[in-house]
Amino acid sequence: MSLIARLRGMLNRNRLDQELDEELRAHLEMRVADNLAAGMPPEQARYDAQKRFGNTTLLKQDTREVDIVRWLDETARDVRHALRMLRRTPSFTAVAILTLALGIGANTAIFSVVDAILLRPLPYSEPDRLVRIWESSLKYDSQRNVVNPFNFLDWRDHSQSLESMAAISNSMSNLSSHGQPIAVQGMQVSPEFFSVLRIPPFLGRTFIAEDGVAGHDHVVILTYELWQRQYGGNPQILGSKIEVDAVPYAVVGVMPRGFSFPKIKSEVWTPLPLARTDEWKSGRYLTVVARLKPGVSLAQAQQDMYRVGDFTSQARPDFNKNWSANVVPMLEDATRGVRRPLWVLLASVGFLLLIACANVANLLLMRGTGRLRELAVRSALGAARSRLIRQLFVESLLLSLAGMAAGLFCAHLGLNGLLALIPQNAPLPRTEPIVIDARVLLFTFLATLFTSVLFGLVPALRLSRVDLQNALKQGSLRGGVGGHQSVRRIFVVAEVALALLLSVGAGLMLRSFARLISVDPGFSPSTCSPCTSGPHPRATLTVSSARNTWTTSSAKSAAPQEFKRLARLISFRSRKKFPAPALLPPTNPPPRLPSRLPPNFSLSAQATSGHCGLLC
Amino acid sequence: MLKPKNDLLQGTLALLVLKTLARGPVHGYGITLHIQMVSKDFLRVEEGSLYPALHRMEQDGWVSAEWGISENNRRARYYRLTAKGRKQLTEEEKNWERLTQAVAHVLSFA
Repeated sequence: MSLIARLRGMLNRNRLDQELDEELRAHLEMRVADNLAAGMPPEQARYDAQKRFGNTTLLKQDTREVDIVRWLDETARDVRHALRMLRRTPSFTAVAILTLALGIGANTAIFSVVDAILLRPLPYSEPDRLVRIWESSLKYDSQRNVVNPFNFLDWRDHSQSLESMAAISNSMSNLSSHGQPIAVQGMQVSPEFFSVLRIPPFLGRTFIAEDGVAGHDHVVILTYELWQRQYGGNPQILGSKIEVDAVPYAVVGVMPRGFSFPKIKSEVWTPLPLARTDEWKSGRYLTVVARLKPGVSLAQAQQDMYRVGDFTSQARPDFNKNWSANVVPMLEDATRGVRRPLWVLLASVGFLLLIACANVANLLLMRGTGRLRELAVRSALGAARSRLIRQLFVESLLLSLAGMAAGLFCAHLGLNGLLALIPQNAPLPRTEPIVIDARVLLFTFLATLFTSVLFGLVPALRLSRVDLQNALKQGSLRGGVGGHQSVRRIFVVAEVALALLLSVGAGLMLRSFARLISVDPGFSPSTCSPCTSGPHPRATLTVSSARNTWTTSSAKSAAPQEFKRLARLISFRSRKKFPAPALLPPTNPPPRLPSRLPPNFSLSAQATSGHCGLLC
Repeated sequence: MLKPKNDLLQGTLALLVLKTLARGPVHGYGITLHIQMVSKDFLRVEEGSLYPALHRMEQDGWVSAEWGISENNRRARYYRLTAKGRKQLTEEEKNWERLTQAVAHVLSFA
């Protein structure tokens, strides 16, 4: 029986047992028939036939065992032999294992990052139904623009494909209850926010519609971590008042541990009291998250939002002309910037693993030539070629498994080092911890099997094709391996090509990175001081040239998009007034200003109306 | 655990079965019948030793098996000799020759 048949046999025990049963029964019946024909009475015929079988169970067991025991026996012998061979050449074994460990370890580490950020679904209920909706403008070539409050309200009221929709506005606040005020990053959200994500609170409740009404909006929800860190995890926190920007807010809920929103490291949530009043009429600064209705596809939702976008541009043409709405799945949106770099990184370490495999294959080939004698003797003693191949392959498998173990250790260290490099407040797309979990281990195991086939098979096939005559003769170590030269050359060429590819790629990446960190943002973020009071930071940005002065009005929070547009407009020098973008950069993260203003222009930011000072 | 078997007997059984199959495909019962008949009832192959041996030979590739219809219209598993089996048969016959000759020599040594 071939190896395939035997493996299938092990898996197919039931069917084979049935077949054996049938075979033995047929034998029995035939003997009974013969006995009857010879004149025995029926009972005796059957009794005699049965007796000949003896203990049928034992018989069946013995027959079955022959298959499996043989195979296990042979495999155990192969493993023992392989271990002995590997131990005899310790330096080769060490180098091979080390090479594999680096390759497999790097892949494991990068894959765990890729898995945590790109592959795992977001930690909300039915996360593939969540989308982000942006405003898109053809004129300004912006596909993901922040949203105007009136537009958001229109979207919410008129869309038919979305189950729920919520608006988000970032804020930086000062909390104080008893003791020192601390600055925390927060989110102002419309009350539907938590029902869009469908995460129940750990304590208390999430926002209800009344919380979104101006005047009733002095409620706040905390993260679990903030609650533990700042308020000692005291369950009496519910209902008590804390001061947010010097205004008392009642704590109504605490979210579960680990709850977060992509790219925004917020610790408190306060309601956004949107209404169709003048206060909310202008400006674009909200981000929107929504949940698709069950059964609605992304394309359908996009078509629906185009329709709603048409409605808004007809309702307020001076503001919304040529603007529309753009629906993007949430995971895709959150991982937008990092997706390509991460896949490129994974491909790079994949190449690294291929180089490692080529290396080890080379080593195996070279070592193999020294063992030709032994293989020839085995072949002469009657070992089938498949047996030789199996033996060599077991060695490769053992090497890979050892490489996998060492690699996991390297990956663990490497991952910790990598994660330590990430700055504390970086806006990560996902905040779930990146660890080596079951999915990553499965990937590692499969990668290990793949590498063992890759570097083990070719040498095994080559070496087992032994020319008995030549190999057994004295001093014929070269004779049987003439063909190896070309294979080895191919390996070397492949390795050099891949290594060159990786080096060039790494060099380019380093250059880009160096250039990135040396960009001057145009102001120094570290000297900006956060607002010390007042819920509505007000400040103005003044740009003046010899002939004109442009001043922005202010609003609640900043969006870098608007700021960029302001800068672009300034550089055109052609307008006397421009739409009121307003926004003041929050300290974290700072927006990117153009690094150079056009000549004769000066830029200054100053506080007005006394509520808050944001001086840079 | 496999029942401890006498090595000689085990080898002999393989030889007998291979020789039986050399005449054409037979099922298990047929093999016992043939050996019993030709040896004039002297050699009775126990089912308990026949089937493990047959399966071992199938594993080693000396015989191949397939299902067929027997004389009394029952399904039965027929074994046939493979090319490898034929080679093995010649080997075993040669070995048997040598063995019997050797034993004869020892016995005739006065």
